[in-house]
Amino acid sequence: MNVTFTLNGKSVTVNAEPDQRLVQILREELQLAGTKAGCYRGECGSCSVLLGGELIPSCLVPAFAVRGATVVTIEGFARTREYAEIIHAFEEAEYAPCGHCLGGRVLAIHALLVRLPSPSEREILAGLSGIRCQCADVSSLLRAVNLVAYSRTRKPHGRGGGRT
Amino acid sequence: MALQEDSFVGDLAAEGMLQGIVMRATVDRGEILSISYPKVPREITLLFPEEVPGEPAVSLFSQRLPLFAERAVAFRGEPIMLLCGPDERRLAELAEEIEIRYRTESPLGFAQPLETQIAERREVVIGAPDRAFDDAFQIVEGEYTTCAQEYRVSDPPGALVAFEEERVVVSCPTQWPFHVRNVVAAVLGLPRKRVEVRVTRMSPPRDSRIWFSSVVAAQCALLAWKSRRPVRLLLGCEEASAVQPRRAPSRIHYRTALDRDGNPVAHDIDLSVDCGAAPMLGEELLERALLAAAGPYQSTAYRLRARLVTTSVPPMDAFQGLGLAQGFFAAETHASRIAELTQTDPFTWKERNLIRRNGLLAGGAIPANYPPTGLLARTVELSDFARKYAAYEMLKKRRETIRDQGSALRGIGLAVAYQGAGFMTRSDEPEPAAVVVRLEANGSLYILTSGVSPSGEARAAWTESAARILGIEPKRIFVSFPDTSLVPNSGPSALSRNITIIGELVERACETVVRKRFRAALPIEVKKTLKLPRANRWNPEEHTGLPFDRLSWAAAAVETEVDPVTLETEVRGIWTTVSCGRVMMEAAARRVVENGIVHALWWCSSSHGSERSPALFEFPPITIEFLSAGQKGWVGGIEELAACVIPSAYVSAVAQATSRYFDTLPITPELIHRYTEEP
Repeated sequence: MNVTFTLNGKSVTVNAEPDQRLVQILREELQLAGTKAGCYRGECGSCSVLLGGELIPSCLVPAFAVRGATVVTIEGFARTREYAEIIHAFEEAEYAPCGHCLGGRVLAIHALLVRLPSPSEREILAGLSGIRCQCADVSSLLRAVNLVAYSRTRKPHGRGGGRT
Repeated sequence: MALQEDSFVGDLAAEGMLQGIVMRATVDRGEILSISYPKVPREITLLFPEEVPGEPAVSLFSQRLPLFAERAVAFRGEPIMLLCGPDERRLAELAEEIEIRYRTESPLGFAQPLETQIAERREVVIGAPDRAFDDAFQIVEGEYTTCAQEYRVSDPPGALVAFEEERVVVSCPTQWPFHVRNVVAAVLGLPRKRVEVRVTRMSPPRDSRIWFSSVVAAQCALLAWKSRRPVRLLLGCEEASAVQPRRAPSRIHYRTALDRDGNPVAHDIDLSVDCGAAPMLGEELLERALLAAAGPYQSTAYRLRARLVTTSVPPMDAFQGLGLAQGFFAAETHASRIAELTQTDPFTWKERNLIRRNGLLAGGAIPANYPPTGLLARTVELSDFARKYAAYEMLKKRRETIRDQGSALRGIGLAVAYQGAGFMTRSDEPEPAAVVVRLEANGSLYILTSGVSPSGEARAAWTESAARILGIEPKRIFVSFPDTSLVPNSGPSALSRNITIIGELVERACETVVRKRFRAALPIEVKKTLKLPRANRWNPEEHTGLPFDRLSWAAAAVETEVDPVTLETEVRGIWTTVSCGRVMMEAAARRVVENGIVHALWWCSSSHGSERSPALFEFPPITIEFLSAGQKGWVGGIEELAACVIPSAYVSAVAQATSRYFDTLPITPELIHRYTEEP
């Protein structure tokens, strides 16, 4: 079956089996290896993508459910200023996730901050709990998210930034 | 072949690559009666055990794990045969059609092992324990059990095997690339120089990929050899969860003779460790568990009995704290129990009995260094232990049942432990670890080591050391990619060896470069090899000598709150004090300890087989303090400390909160319910 959807801002059509999952389409058909295949049960969060702006484990999304949808993977998100901001905060906070969960984690932080621009510590931890990989420490993660939240609230996107 | 050193094995591909799968036993124990399969399409390759061209096993030190169940099945998930083909879906369909008939047998359990299940034994008597027990003022008994702990990160185990010229090139995540090389060469019956291993990116392996990667790589290499095509073998999440090595369960029984003041004078310790179907790393596991079970306290007499039990579950691997974690859980929980029975607060009892200068561990083992003064006292101060312990004791004594108090139930526990670095039975290493450092004419420095640094922290530490010693800018220092054709064998990157052994070899090599720098022409190349101490070598039969070259010490206080309705345990805070000699890169060291604490808590609260893994918001506030040892001198390991020190403090805290005596891991709400409902 042919499935057409918008991927990272471009329309793509793939020939997929009906039960093929989005993570397989991304990795095997479209060679987007930034979305990692982990548990195939929606538990680990490594395969997270933004589907219609929502953070979704792509291993739970069957091919037919992607028809007409808008999907952003880490490769697409990596072209945005928000991505650069998050990676800069990781470096500042010396937060070093393993790489397998990195894409999912970055997208999860972005999705969280869109929903809650100034989250509390508990909201951060609850909001990022969908990424289960325990490769890195929590304190640095909290510092990194707080840095991104701080920088985003100081410099609203699209307005040129700067303190008002 | 698309190969990048920063790729995970699942991201790698090679031209014409086939996918491999493993047919595994679906019974716990039994005998294979027959294997029947339909007509196999030409593009699919089947490999049976009898086709292995070389050694059909993975060897580690003196142990040997068969690659396949040829007739007898030793554990559920044991490989029976291999398949590979271009289409994963077609492979899975064919695998469904393969019918394996078994004659099943009762699985071998850990609870009451048969004599034939004992793979290894130790019996050591130190001093005169019988006389000490005869003269004892009081005798305290206890039995402490720990469960298996599963390694859970999201990147799956796997390997990609391809051919380059005359060489077999293996790409896989492993902590010991040269072990993979040796195993693959032996399995294929090839000289070692014809096998090259390139380490792929991986999540921090926590000492669970010491030898298991060699098994997967060997299976993948066999498929590539038979099909004459590159093959990638990736284990699925459920498959990996079922067959990956875990932390070995343990059961440790104590009889401790106390003097009139409540101090220990003799221990009778009976220890059993479940090593799974094969005792891989078994001797090491047993030695370490036994040493730790004897505790960090002074005593004069011991009777130590230990056995390694084989069971019908997949073989166990090191996992952070190999043996030490199980031993210290028992030793420290038992010590807290003695303190309670002798009506002494745990701090006073532990501080009073902690090994002092000139004391011997387990009655005969020489500690490389002693716990620093103030280790426990500083932890007590940071956590406000004395006040909290007294307050929670008072509340505990006031209530009759845990339902009496409307509010949450709180408790605090305290523990102390040490870790060494590297193997205790290290003389068994096939070749000594080595590191090469080369200073080029252009001023760049190359560090050649097979050491693997998944989080990059060890790599940064080696660079920092070299920069400090040679006065070279870090950006001009290059650490080689762990490829067995390019680097010397530095041994496994496990058991804190990256910092303590490889790190020390890097420093020694750099110091030699400094001495040669203005006397020899560039480039200068220096190779340093691990030299084992000649004097005071560890004697496992008598428990004498130096078990580890140096010890890092930690003390921890854990405060918990048990919900009186749901009986769920929340950790309110953890305070830990660490003494590990010179602290390299303190922020990184702090992260290592914190991560260890998180994994230790996971071991405390979730059992293997449960689907539950802790969510981020369950993580407590953690305070870590390093006791300063200055900027010079030795560097100790820290990766295993949390696994050694946190669990018993956690259990003591839950015990105080619930007024019940807990002696097992994990502590689940169901267990608390059972303990509190029983009279």
